[in-house]
Amino acid sequence: MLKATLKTKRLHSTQSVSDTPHLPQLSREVKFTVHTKTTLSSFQKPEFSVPRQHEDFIWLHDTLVETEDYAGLIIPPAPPKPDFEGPREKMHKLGEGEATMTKEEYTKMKQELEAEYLAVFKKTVQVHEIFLQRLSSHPILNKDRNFQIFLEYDQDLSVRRKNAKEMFGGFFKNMVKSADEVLISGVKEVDDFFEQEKTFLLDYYSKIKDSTAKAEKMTRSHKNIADDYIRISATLNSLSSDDSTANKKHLEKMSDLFEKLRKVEGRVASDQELKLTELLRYYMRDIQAAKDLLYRRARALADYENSNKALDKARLKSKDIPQAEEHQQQCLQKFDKLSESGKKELTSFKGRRVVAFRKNLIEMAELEIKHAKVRSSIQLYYICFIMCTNELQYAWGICKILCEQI
Amino acid sequence: MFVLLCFQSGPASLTTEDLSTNANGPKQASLFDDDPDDLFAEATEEVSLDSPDRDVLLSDGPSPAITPMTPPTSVITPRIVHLTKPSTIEEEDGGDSFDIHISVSDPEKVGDGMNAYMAYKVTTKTSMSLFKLREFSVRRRFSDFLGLHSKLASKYLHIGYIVPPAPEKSIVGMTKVKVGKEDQSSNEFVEKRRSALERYLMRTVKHPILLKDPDVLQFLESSELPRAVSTQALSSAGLLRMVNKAADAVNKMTIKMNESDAWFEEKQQHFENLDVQLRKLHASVESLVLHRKELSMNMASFAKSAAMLGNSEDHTALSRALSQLAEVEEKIDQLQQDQANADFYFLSELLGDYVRLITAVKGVFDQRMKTWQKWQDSQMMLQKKREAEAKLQFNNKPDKLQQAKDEIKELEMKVQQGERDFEQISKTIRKEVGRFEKERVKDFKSTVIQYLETLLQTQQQMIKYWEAFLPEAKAIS
Repeated sequence: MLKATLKTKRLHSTQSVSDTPHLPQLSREVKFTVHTKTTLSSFQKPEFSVPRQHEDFIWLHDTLVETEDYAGLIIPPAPPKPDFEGPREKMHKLGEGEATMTKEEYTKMKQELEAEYLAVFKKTVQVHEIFLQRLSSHPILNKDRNFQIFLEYDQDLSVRRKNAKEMFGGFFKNMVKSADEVLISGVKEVDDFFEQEKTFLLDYYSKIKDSTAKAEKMTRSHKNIADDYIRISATLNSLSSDDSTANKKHLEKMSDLFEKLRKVEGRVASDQELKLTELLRYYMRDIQAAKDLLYRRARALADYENSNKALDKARLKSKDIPQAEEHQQQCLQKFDKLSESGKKELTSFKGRRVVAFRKNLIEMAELEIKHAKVRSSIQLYYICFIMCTNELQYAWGICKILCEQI
Repeated sequence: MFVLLCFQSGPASLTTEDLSTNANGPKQASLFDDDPDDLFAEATEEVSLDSPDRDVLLSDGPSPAITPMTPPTSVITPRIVHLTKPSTIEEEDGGDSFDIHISVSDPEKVGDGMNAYMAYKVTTKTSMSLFKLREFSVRRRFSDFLGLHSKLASKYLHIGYIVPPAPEKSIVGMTKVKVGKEDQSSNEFVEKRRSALERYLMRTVKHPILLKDPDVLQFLESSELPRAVSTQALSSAGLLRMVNKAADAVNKMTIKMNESDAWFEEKQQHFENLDVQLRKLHASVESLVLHRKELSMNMASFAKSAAMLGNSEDHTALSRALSQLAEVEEKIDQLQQDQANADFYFLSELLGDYVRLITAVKGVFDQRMKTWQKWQDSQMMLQKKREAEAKLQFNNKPDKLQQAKDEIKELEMKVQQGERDFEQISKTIRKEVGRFEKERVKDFKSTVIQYLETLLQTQQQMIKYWEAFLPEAKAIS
């Protein structure tokens, strides 16, 4: 049994003048703590923690990809770099607009900023943790030596990480690969299962990429609405403080209403992001990993076919036949191995995908219902308040709401 | 006391405990719980229905002598019955109680090309004896409305009445309609204008003095109306208006009035502030409308994308769930669209109206200043004439003296009139501002309630849609 969990610390400001949270400029500044619990004897202790950075995760992923033995496996996609661009932009805007805003407006926007910052953290932790959990639950990958090192080695891993030269190598590899993707479509497929999978994955990938982008746009719109609510709430507040008529209380309450609505709106945006957008994004990357598997297998098939041709040529020339035969056998073995494990991997991938979608869609629907109910209650409460011309009616109204809720 | 009332009504009994410690009701509490892993718990406050105000209200509540309310006969309907009804304002001078309702409807394009115009049906329903019939309608075009406003303004503004401003001209909007583009934006434009014209007429007739004005009556009742040519922007009357406006602005800067009345000073400041805040609020609401429309568009495009994803998906149950998700999102996008319209028509337009109204109110204060100036001017003239008279007496010119004495008498009357005018306009303005503020409160309250009702309906619908989707998601095996 192997269980890895992830924690991270919120970074606090080194006392800056405006007392705003210090946002990480580089992913290097985000420090994770990887905590492992295990019963396997291959580890020195049953429970231990190590500090890690984002780059360490990337290193682990890349070494797994480059390991020949794992060519027939879907390597879990690497977690994306922590992206604090959103909160950073907001912080910038906040700094610029500080002079024109009222104190309440400024405080509220700062709250929004903090909430967004935390949301990014939550997302980052989630995606890094999923990566480790995928590895620790995979029967072959969880035995990988580098994975063990990642979990156990209590010193800084940076000495083992890619140096610049290796990084370039990776870059070129990717370039060649996309040219080869054209190759995949060209290679004649012998197995129906893989033919279907290829068609399915290529199509699904483009659709899911599109859906991810559209979901992101939806989230952004929700956030914009939440910002508008802040400004409306603040202006209503100023109006109410200037007002001396019967409107004063109404304005105050309206201001409150919008303040509460924007909190809900903010949570809708982040819930939607976590449950829907992140789900789509993750599976987009996972499908890419599955496509990579297909690519590797197609390469192996091409190699096998080439080795066949070489064998034929050798037989024709009656030269180097044993080497050619041996090479052909190796290619065939490799191809068969890839096909066999590939089939298993792709089947379990489908199951995994269905389970994840189910869970997230259910959770998202439940959250949407919860938020809509909260919104209705809030609105009902305020309608009651404003409608009622005296406290007695008002109390009566509240009773009605409570009775309905029960 | 709170508990007592509740016992009479509720289907379930509530203990004091439930109410005081968890006043939101047991179900409500669970909605606000944060899970322990929730990073948000640190950053945000709890969304809570509790407010200190409420507790105060409840504890100061009715005396025990109040007789219990009759329990509701039906379960609370989620939809609140609409509260909007034509408001009844008590006429100060007795007579008819205010009962008149005007609607503007059936926009119809008349004519073709650049001479085309929209004609609207103006229907009046009333029981007031001021009118010949109880229900009648006429057809009017936009320039008729402008003409009415211009007549009323020339009659009443300078004596201190707040004349509601007419909707603004829009050359771009009208050109599109004239050219015959039957698209969404020109339909929206016509609807926006129709709604604005209706509000304009209702505001005008709510004013007890304006209601009785013969021009208003003629506008509402007579089938034929002489065309108000002077309202065209490029007419000579239009140019004259522009020149006058500029002159007024210059004058305003040069008049230095000694404000003896603190009430006016305070009110002017109040309206200045109100102007600034309302404009800001209006801008924010316009931004909200825009963003909600964007949300609706983004939801629609996501729905399409999700549907395509569902088609691609080879797992049957998941495929169906994704298609259902697409449907839900599409329905909700429609909801958001409707909500954006509500945001607009209720909030944004109301705020726009009030920004213009405040300008009219400020105009009335300016008129008062002008009246004061006139009075001061005649006083100065009188002073000069008196000095001249004294000089003449000294120089002994009897015939010129008589003329001077006559002029002085005239000026004295003018000064007295000026003073009366100033006093009258001040009195009128006080009354008008009082009425305006009362109207404002009522207007805002009823509009806010209508708006909140739309918000509520939207949420109720959303709950229905998501609750219908949930079993589909759970059905994925």
